[in-house]
Amino acid sequence: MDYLICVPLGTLMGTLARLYMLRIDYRQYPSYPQGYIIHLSLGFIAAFLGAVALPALLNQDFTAATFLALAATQFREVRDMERKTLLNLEPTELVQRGTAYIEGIARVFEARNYLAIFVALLVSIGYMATASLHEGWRFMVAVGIGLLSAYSLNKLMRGKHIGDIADIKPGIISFDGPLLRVDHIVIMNIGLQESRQRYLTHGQGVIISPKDPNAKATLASPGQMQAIVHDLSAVLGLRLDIGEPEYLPLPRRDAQTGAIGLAMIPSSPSIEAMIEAARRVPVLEASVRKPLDAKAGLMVD
Amino acid sequence: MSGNVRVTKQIIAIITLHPERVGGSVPIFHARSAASLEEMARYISRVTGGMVHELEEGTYFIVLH
Repeated sequence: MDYLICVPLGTLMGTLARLYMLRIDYRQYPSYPQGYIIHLSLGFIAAFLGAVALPALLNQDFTAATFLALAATQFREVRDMERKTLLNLEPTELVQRGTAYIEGIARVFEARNYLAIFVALLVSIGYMATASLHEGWRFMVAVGIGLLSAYSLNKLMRGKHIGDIADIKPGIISFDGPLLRVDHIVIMNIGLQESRQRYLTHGQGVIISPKDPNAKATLASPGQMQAIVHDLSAVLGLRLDIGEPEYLPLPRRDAQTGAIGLAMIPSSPSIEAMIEAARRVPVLEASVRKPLDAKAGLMVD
Repeated sequence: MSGNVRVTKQIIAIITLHPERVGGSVPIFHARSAASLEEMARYISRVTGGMVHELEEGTYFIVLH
C-alpha cells in the first residue's frame, strides 16, 4: 500500500522539480511547446526511476535497482540531443552562441534530469522513512523534502555570472581614424563614414574588467567572450541586417589588464540594460580557469 | 554548415582615389570623388557581405570575415 503512494508522489515531485527548472529563459532554447514536452516527458521518466529505486530495494528486487544505472545512459542522450539541436541552429543565428556556450547548455539539460531523479528519490525516502507517523504527516514531510531539495539543488546548480567575477561599466565609443575604440580598447577598422556615424550616434560600449587573476583567465576564453556577445545581442537586439558585418558586435581584449571591450548598436538602446545583461551572462563551465589554485599561479600574482 | 566554400580573411576588392598606389590581382575600382568612393565601397560590401576597411585616406579594401 505504501508503494502506491510513495512511487506516484515521488514521480510527481520529481516531474514538478523538472518543470521548475525548465523556466523559459530568453537565452535558453526551449521557448516553444515542443521543447517543453520533450523535456517534461524525459523529466517524468527520470522522476519515475528515482521514485521506484527505494521501493525496489526494499522489495529485494535488485535487478530493478540496477536498471537505474542503465537509465543514466539514456540521459546522456539528452546532452547529445541538445548539442545537436543547438549546433544545427547555429548557422541560422545572427550572432552565434559558440560551441563552448552550447556545450554548457547541453550539460545543464543533462544534469537537470539527474536532479529530477534525485528529488524523486529523496521524496520516496522521506515517505518510506516516516512509516511510524500519521498518513497525512508522512505526505507533508515527503512533499516538504521534495520542495526543499528541488529549491536547494537548483540553487546549488546555478553557476556564477559575469557580474560576480567582473566589474562592468559603460565605455565611451570613439574613432581613431578608421579604428573603432571603446575607451582605450581598439575593436575594429571601420571604413565607411556612414557606419562610423551610426556607431557614434546609436552605439553603446561596455568595458568588462576582471576582478582577480582567476576572472582574468576565465574572461580570456574566446568561448566566454562569444557567449557574452550572444547574450547581449539576444537581450538588446541588434540594429543590423544580414550582410552588414560592421555592425556585428565584436569583443576585444586588452592584453595588459585582461579587460574586455565591446561595442554594439542595440535596437533598443539603454546602457543600463546592456550592463545588466552583461552581468547576467553565465560563466561557462568550460571557460572557468583558476590559476590561483596552482602554486605557480600564486607566485605570479 | 553547407558545402559552400567561403574564402575569408582575404581582400576581395579595393576601392581607391589613388590608383597609382595600389595594384595586384584583386579587382580595383577607381573612384572619382570621396563621395563615390564611399558609395562604391558600400555597394560592393552590401553585395558581397564583406566588410569595408580603410587602409589610408582615399583607399578602402573589402574583406570577408
